Amino acid sequence: MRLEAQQVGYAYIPGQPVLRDVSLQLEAGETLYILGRNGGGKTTLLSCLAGLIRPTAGRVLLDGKDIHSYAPAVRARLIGLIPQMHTPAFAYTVREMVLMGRAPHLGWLGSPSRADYMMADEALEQVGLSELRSRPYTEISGGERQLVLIARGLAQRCNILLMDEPTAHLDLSNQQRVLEMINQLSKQGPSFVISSHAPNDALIYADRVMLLKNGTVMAYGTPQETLTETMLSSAYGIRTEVIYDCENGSSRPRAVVAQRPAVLTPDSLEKPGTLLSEVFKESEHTPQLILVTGLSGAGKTTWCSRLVELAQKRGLKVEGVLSPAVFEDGRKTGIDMVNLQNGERRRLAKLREGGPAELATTQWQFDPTVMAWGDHILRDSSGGDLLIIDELGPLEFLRHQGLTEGLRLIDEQRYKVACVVVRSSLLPTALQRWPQALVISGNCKHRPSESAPALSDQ
Amino acid sequence: MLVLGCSAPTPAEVTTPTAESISPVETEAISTNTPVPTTVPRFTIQADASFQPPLSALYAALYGDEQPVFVDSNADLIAAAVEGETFVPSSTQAVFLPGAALIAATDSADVLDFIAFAVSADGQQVLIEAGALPDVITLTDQAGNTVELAQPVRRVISSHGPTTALIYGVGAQDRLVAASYLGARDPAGAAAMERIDPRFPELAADDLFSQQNFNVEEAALRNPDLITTSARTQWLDVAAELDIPVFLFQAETPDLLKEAMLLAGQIFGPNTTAQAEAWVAYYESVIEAIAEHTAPLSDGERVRVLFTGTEPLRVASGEMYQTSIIELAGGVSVSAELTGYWNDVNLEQIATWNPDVIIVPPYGGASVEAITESPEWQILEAVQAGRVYRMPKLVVPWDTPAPDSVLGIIWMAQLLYPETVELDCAEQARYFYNTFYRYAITDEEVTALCTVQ
Amino acid sequence: MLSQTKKLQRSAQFSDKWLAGLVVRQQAANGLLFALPIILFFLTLALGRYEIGIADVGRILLSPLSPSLAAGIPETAQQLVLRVRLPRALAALLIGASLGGTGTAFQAIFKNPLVDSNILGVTSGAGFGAALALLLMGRPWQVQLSAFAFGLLAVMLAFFGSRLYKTTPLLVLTLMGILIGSLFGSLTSLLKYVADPLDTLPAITFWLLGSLTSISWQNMTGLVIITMGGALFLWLVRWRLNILSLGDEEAKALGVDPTRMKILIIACATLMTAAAVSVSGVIGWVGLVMPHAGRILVGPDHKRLLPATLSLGASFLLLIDTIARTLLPGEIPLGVLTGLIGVPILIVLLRRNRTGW
Repeated sequence: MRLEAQQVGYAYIPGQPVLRDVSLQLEAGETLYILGRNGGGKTTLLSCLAGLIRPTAGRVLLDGKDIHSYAPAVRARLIGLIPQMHTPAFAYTVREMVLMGRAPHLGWLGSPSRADYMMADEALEQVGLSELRSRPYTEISGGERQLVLIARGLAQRCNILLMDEPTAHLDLSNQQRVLEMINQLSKQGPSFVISSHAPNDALIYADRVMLLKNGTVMAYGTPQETLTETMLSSAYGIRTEVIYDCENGSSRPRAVVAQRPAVLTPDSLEKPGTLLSEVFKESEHTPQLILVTGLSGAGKTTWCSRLVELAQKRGLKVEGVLSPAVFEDGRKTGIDMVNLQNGERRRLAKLREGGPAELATTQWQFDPTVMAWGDHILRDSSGGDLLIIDELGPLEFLRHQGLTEGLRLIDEQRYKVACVVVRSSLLPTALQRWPQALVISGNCKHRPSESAPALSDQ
Repeated sequence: MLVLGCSAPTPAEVTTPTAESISPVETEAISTNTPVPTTVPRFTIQADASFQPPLSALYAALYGDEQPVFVDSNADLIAAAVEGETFVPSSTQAVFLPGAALIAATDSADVLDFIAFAVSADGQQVLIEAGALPDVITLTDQAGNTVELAQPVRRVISSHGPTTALIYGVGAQDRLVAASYLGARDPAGAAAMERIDPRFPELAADDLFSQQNFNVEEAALRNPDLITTSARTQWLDVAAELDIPVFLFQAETPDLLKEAMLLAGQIFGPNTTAQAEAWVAYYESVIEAIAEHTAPLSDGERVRVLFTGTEPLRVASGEMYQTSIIELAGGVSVSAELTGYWNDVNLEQIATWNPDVIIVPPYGGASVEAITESPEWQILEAVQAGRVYRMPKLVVPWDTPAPDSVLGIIWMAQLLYPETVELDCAEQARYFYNTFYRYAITDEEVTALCTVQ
Repeated sequence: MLSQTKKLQRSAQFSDKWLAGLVVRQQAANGLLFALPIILFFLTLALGRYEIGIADVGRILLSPLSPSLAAGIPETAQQLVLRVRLPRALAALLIGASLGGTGTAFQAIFKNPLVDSNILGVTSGAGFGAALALLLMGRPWQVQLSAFAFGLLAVMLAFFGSRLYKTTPLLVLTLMGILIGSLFGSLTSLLKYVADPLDTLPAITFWLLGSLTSISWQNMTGLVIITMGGALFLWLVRWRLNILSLGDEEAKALGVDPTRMKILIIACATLMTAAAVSVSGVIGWVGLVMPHAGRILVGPDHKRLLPATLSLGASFLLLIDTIARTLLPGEIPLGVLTGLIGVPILIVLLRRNRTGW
């Protein structure tokens, strides 16, 4: 029993597809995990695969035939979908719930027979819930409910079971219970397609993994192939770390961990062996990108200026732009832009006064000439030893205005070491674009000083 | 040619008074030496001295400079004292002052005109100015309100069907400017009403004025002096804004009906008062005549009657006028134990009551066939014996609390006790409509009414 | 390992016995529910304003087969039982079963235990149709036909109105039903305002409060056919109601076409309700309360719930109607009694409730 998707696409609103060009082949007995962000199209894909909705592009084949050519009852005998858990309106007993899985096998006007009841009981037996047979479904735990739904799928006697986020809302032990059950069952014949949030589950249980990003297939293959740091970072927009087990000389991935932004001080540049010094050493061979992140006012610019100081002291060529804040009576009232090559300084932004402005965000009104000047600096830059871009923000990422040359520089990797200041909210966007970046938390112990750091050492 | 001194006409003997049947009685003429007028007067008047000034005023109002000619005998027009109950107004005789009547001795058009004028609103006005009639009377209506009525009342809006019937019954229909009519919505009823009162089409204003609904602006347009309606009306506050007196009637029982008639008569002057009193006398004599025959009957001997409503299973309660009619006719209302207005019951209950006779009302789409042709109703002996009858109506149904209901009582008594009751429906119907409605009812209409189906 | 097997065996034994006990209890309950309306039917034939002994009633009922049995019983009594009480009791059974069964079906379709068959406006539409016919002085059969037609019209309007908005079909359908029901309710109020307060208005009010006084063998034919046919259909698809009550998605996943099933069930239930209301007027509460009572007694599995509500609805209405026609000389409208009696019963049942709905 083979399930195949050929370039399946689906759009709820015409012109805005949530799925694009998704192809997969499910073999008998295989467990396929579908991973991706919320809203990435996983549920829609499952619905298409189960034949519940008709793809707006491409087709789904079940055993070689278009899935929609099967009558619904026939199709339901072959492939079943267990949707996300929800509470039913009426408190059916566990047995009654499982019994409903027999529906595709009964005629239009049929009621379950003794044989059907027996099959339901068998299914309950298989998942180990026989004692809960007469308990109301609404009164058992989440994990048990999920098992009941699996039992229902078993009673359905279909070969392929699709499950939508079976472990969501489950505690650790219930998660384990459910996933182990699925694993055991899959050894006896049925294929499973499971959509999940947890890459770790996929690592452990999946035969193959499909990574969806924005409705398209980013990766499709074995867990080892697909669940790499780069792939995951790109798909989820966070830095991830894969922990490997080393056995007999080969390393197997064991767990995926989200990486937090590293906390290091610019001063660690001086000490050999620190991450920062290693980064600079590596920069001889490959370009190194550092994303300095943090909330507004956390000290990203300060961190960068300290780094600039230290780099210049070591004789490194520093290029790029820095955007120190301007304070009046302790309040930030403006942003300056400093050309790190020659120290020239101009007023970039002031507080927005209301009314339309050519180049503005909600808080700040940017001087277009100064912005263009900054952009110009970056265009002419060759990267130097250390390139600083402070900052790439909503103007650049979302509206393609502002320091667009800076974006290009980073995209084209024309730098040795680049430090880009990116605010926390835009970090996922940045990571999806540059998954290789090192993320540093730009929190400084130093208090922000009233004036810009001295740059006259050049 | 007076009608003084006659005993109260008994129902069996009452006939339309004609000139021939009135027995002459001697009068006491005042002998004066009245000079013989030089010109031929329009007509001569015989009157006591106390009546002459008002008569002169009337005459002057009608004929200007001409002087009335008073004679002692053989006058064309006689003014004399009468007793209320015994006097039945008509076109040839009318009560123009309380206790005083004008009687025409000839057929002269002038005489009849004079009589008509004397009891009209204008004539009343003249008499008021002459001091012979009060200019304001105070009455208590049937809701207990004291109402001051400036006389004469010329323009009345009657927004309640039964009340309109009262006004016709006392002979004041010329004072109506708009009215809601009872029983005049079906084509036959409307045609009959038009025959009775040619003004009916313009007066009928059911859509503007009814028990639920009072169009204040239309009322103001008609400039009424008085609004009469039922005490159950819902818009009384609205009408109060017009600053027009409102007189309320509530005549659900025989006693209240009599009181209502008398009040209605009093509102419009002495003649209508006399007509009202005559009707009350008639009503009471009818009841008495029937009671003579039915009072000795024991309860078990009385005929059991079921009065149904617009649906066969909707029956009259004990508190309704229909039950009173049944009882006055000597029968027993089987549904008397119910209270309120129309009640819905089921067939079993009717079977338990086991009426001898079933009456169907002449309104609301009710029909005898709905009962006689229904197989379920065959379980009742009354239906099997064919004793299902339809209450008659000319315009006003004879079972509603209106003057016509006296005929309803007669009709029913004749129906229930044909051997003992001597009143004849046809005879009485003629008398009633001729006298109180001044309507020459045709033979066809009488037959249609009184023949029992 | 061994202890595990023993544990399994023991639990199997325990559950077998318990299961056997459960089955016996279930069968007893089933039997009771089946017999209840029948027993009540014959009992209530002996009750009424007109005194007829129960032995006599029995003889009268058998008399069409052998006329001599009824000798000695007054003709009126015989006719009363055969012509008046019998059709009325039968109608009460059918209408009660109709209202109970359709209430259950609608609660399943709408996944909501708070709806009854008027959710799509059929009762409001029928009420309007009847009021209109009464206002235009229609004959009883015209009132019945008008009520039936407008009941169907209301549901069709609600249904086709909801097709205009495709994303949340169930919610929109509920909303349209409520709107259409309100619309017809307002129109009925308008008719009441215009009606003659002396005779048409009380007729409309009485009709709207529900009564079975006008039942006779003539106007029962349509009721019998539609109710029996509809109840049969609902009985056949009763297990499918379980699946529909899980929602469209799961139903589809289980191979059921929810839209087609829902349309059929709604059509069937609407016909049944319209037929019932057009004969009896508006009787509330039965469709809402009986499914709850049924759930408390036999559980939410529609395989047992549907027959249970058919039985409970029939019994309940039979009881109510007997009170309506016997207690006072005048008829008490059914709608008055169903609430007065139904609410305390439900409260008592709720206190014995096991779990949820």
